[in-house]
Parts: sequence; structure tokens; C-alpha cells
Amino acid sequence: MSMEARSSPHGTTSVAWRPPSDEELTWFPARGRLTTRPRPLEYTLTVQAFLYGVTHALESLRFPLYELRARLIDGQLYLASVPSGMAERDLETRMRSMRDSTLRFSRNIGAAWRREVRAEVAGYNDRMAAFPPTAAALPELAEELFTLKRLRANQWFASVRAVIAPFALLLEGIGESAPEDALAVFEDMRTLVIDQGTAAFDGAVQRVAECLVQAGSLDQPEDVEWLEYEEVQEALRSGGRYQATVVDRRAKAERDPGPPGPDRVGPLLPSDAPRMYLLREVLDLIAGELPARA
Amino acid sequence: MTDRRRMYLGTEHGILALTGDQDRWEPERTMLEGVQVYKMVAPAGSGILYAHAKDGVHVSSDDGKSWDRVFPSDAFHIAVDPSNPQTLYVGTEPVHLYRTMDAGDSWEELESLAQQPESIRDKWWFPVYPHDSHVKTIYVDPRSGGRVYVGLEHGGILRTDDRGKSWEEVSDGIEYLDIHMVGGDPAQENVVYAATARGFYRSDDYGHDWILAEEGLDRDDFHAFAAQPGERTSLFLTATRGTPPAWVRPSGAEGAVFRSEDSGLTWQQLGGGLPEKLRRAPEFLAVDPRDEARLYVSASDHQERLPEGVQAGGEVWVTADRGTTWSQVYEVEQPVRILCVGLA
Repeated sequence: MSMEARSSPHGTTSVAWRPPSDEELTWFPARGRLTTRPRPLEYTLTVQAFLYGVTHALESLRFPLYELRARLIDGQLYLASVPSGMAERDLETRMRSMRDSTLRFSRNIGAAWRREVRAEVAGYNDRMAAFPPTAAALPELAEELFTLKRLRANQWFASVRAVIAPFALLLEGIGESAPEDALAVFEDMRTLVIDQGTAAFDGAVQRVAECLVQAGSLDQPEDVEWLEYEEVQEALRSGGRYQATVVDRRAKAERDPGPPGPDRVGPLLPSDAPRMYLLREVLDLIAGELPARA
Repeated sequence: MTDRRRMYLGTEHGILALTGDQDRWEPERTMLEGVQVYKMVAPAGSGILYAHAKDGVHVSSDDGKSWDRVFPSDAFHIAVDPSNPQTLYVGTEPVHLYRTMDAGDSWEELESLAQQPESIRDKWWFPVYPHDSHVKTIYVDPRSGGRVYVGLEHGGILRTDDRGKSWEEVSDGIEYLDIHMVGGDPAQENVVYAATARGFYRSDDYGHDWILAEEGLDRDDFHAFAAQPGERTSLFLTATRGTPPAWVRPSGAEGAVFRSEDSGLTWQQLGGGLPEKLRRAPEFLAVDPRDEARLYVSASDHQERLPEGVQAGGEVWVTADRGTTWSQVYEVEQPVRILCVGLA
């Protein structure tokens, strides 16, 4: 026989869920690890890899958000937390799932880091340092650039999921790790991901830029910062001259850096909105800002 | 007409073949001994068995006595075209899709799937290192051999209507693109269902838009389902509370089996002998090849989710009355990776 049918807060929706548009979201200025006014390549490659990693980490731990999204407003970088339809329909279940899902890391941050994650995170630095593959022709480099973006995203994912998010939870009293061990792991992660990882990633981009200089698409490797990710891929695939685009964008940025933007764009969001759960704390930790209670 | 069945349980050390009827099952032999097997298909009446293992896809045409390895590289999922048992689709990690139309003698890659634009491939990802997405499920519509759905873990659902020449991403409405199974409604070609790691969905327009169909479900990670014809389609669905990382809790996976008598609009959890919370995860479900009232569910531990020193095991449950009553008919001291039932 059947057990009694239960009502579900999930229920049955009548229309397909769609994530809210940019205009419906509340945007706050990026700070910390992210440049306030990123150049085109930083916005379309570095920032997107960062968001991909952080979003997937928090999603996989069932934090109550759909994604962390970025937007440029008058050239200034803003972030928004996109609400999860499923989480907001049944927040209680989602938060319980989050606690269950984070157990494997929050029980003992140090053990999980050393056993499962550290070698992976360090390995990404080795792979970025070896980028691009010496045998790759320029058109193949376009696809390899996707791989590079994914390497950095995965490095953010692994470290946010195993260290930063559990550390933020620990500071909230969720988890059982020894604080001094968690702090030591956090410092180790910072060295690997933020210091060495950033250098390895920037070095890889620099070598791609040198390829574009050799191919005649750019005059100087640093010019690549003024191209967008897809333009770099197109230059690698098809060649062509991109220096005029670089000169134009650089001049425009120097001429009109834009005023500082507001502290918020979009509707007022309550500080306890589910989508913001521990998000500022996670971003602060990534920025290297340890809360006083740590 | 024989009442005897053969049940195939995939384990880390090969396929354990059992023979039996409803309540009594005896081990018969181990096939592909020493090989870690992930999935097996026994197209009814064909005499062919397909198994995909860590080292590729194997085919047998003599009830599993001998096997030929016909696809030499790692596969992640296989599915037979119901209209032709010689046609097999193989999905891999990273995402590629291959097809044989002669039971494995020759293969072609359906290249356009893997060649999706970067905006779509960007969604293809997996939380476990090396973070490559894989083909988790393939549904070949028996009414139209040209229409195939592929579900990616993670990455969404893609559909072809022209036998794999072109693909369209059809995931709108699914919030978390961790697809475990896609299957069609036996009565309505336009209706498709999807079990995912965060919800159970129904589409009324060939996958273009998906809506949550969870009234009565109190689990959130869905694994396998079967759709059976009737005045209104009946669905059977296995589920757990949370994804594998959450199964480390003392109560384990908190698994359950649900039934819907109205095409997924409402659901009831099935008891009748099944515990309300199965500690092991009920990840596989099979329908009897001859008696549609009879279903089989296997539930397993995940070794890495168990306390040190505890050996993972698996169990099989059977119902002969469309899920009203259940009995556990077999237990094995290994996780069961696959469950497949054919005629003995």
C-alpha cells in the first residue's frame, strides 16, 4: 500500500522557471579580488572564470542562490546574486541540504583539503604554467583558451567549495573543524590559488598575447588586455589586425574613466535575502579579509 | 510461457546473473568477471546483451556465455534503439556520442553533438575532478528513431530530430542542469520526463520547456524512473534526500520509491514493505520484460560515503503489483551498479 501522500513545498509549477534578467536584480560594486574597472579581457575571461568557479562551488554545496552574475555599469564592475527558484520555494529544506552537503568539508576542513583537494588545486598551477601547449597551432589555441578559462574556474571551484565556503560556515558556527587548522588551510589555499594561481594564469595569458604579437594581430603583448575573450579567440582562429580596436578602447578609457558608481543598482534587497546567505563573507574571505572573529 | 527471469546485477567485479521468479533468486554465474560494469541492456527478444564497462562496451549474443569488446574506449552510458536492437548509442566523458547500427561491428561519431558552440559547452561540467561532463542518459523515442534525447551530468538536455545530424539544447526551466535520466511518455510523443539531482520535471513540448512535477515528492535527488501506459501514464521513480555528499549522515541516502498515476502531476511514496527511508540509495529501476506490474529496484551503498571499515553492499527489491507491496529478494556484499532483467 502507499504511504500517505505528502504535500510538497516544491509542488508542480505551471510555467517553466527562468532566471531573472539583469534589470530585476540588485547589483553591488565588486571589490577585493576583482578590479573595480576591469579591462575587456579581464572582464570577459578572468572575472568570468572566477564567477564560474564561485557559482558552481556554492551551487554544489546547495547555498540558496542560482548564480553569481557580473555586469559592467559605466565601466564599473558590479555583482549580483541571482535567486534560486527552488531554494526560495522551500528554504528550510535547502538549508538542511546545505548543511548535509557541506559536512564532508566542514567536519574537518584540514583533512578534506589535504586528502582530496590540495593536489588538484596545485595541479592547476602546473597546467597553467605549461600553457599553451607548445605543439598547438594558433587556431587550436582558440579552443585551448577555453581550457585555460576552465582550469582557473575549476581552481576557484575546488578551493571555494572545500575551504572558503566551509570556513565561512565555520565562522557562523556550522561545522566541527578546529579553527586553527581551518585558518592554516585557508592560508595555504590563499598562497596556492590567489598568489601562485593568479601569477600562473596571468603568465599563461601573457604567452597567448605573445603569440598574437608574433602573428601580427597586436603590437605589444599588453595590448591583449583591450580585447574581449571572444575577440582573442577569433584572432587566434582567423588572424587579422586588432590594433585599431586596442587603440580606440584604450583612448576611450583614458579620456573618460567614468565617475564612481552608486553603492547599489536595482531594487533594495533585504540583508537577510536567502540569495545573499554568507555571500559577502565568502567574497571577503576570497579577498583575503579575515573577519575579526577568525 | 516461462515465468523464469534472469536478473543481472552489475558489480565492481563483473555481472552477477541470477535466475528466479518473484521471490526466490539464485546466483547462476558471473559474467565479465573482474570487469567493473556500469550499465547493461538486454533488448527483449533479441538474444543480444550489451554491457558497458570501464574498458569499453561488450556485446554477447549467447546469453552472456561469451563476450566481444566492440567499443574499445571508456563509455559512460549506452542505449538501444527500441526499434532495432542492432542499433546502440554510446555516450562518453568528455561528451561525445557514438552509434553502431550493426551491434558493434562499425561505429560512427555523431560529431555535431560535441561540436556545440562554446556558449552551450560552457554548461558542460562536473563537480568531481577532472570536472568533465558526461553523457548520463540517452532516450531513443521508439515512435521516431530519428528523435533522440541526450542528458548530460552536468550540462542539460539536447535533442535531435534527424538521427544526430543536428542538436538543439532543450533545458529551459531546469534550474540545476544535473540530468540523471530522460524518458518519454508511452502515450504522448510530446511529453518527456527528466529526473535530475534537484528536481523531477515534465515537458509537454518535446523538451522545449520543463516544469517541476513534484506534488507529493519529499525527496530532491531523483535517479531512475519508468513510465507505463494506461488510461493515464503511471510513473515509478526512485529518489534520495540530497546528493551523494549528503549520504554520509547516519541515515544514509534516505531513499524512497514513488508512484504517480497521473503522468507526474501527483505522487505517492510507496511502502508495503519498503522502508520509509532506505539507507542505501535506490539508483536503479527495471521493468519486467513481460509483466508490467512487476518492477525491480536496486539500492546500494557508496563505499566512500561509509564509515571506515564498513563494507558497501547492495540489495534488490521486487514488486509484482505495481508497487503496492515489495519484498527484498537479494542482498549482495558489493554495491550494485546496474540492474537489468530479462527472460531466462
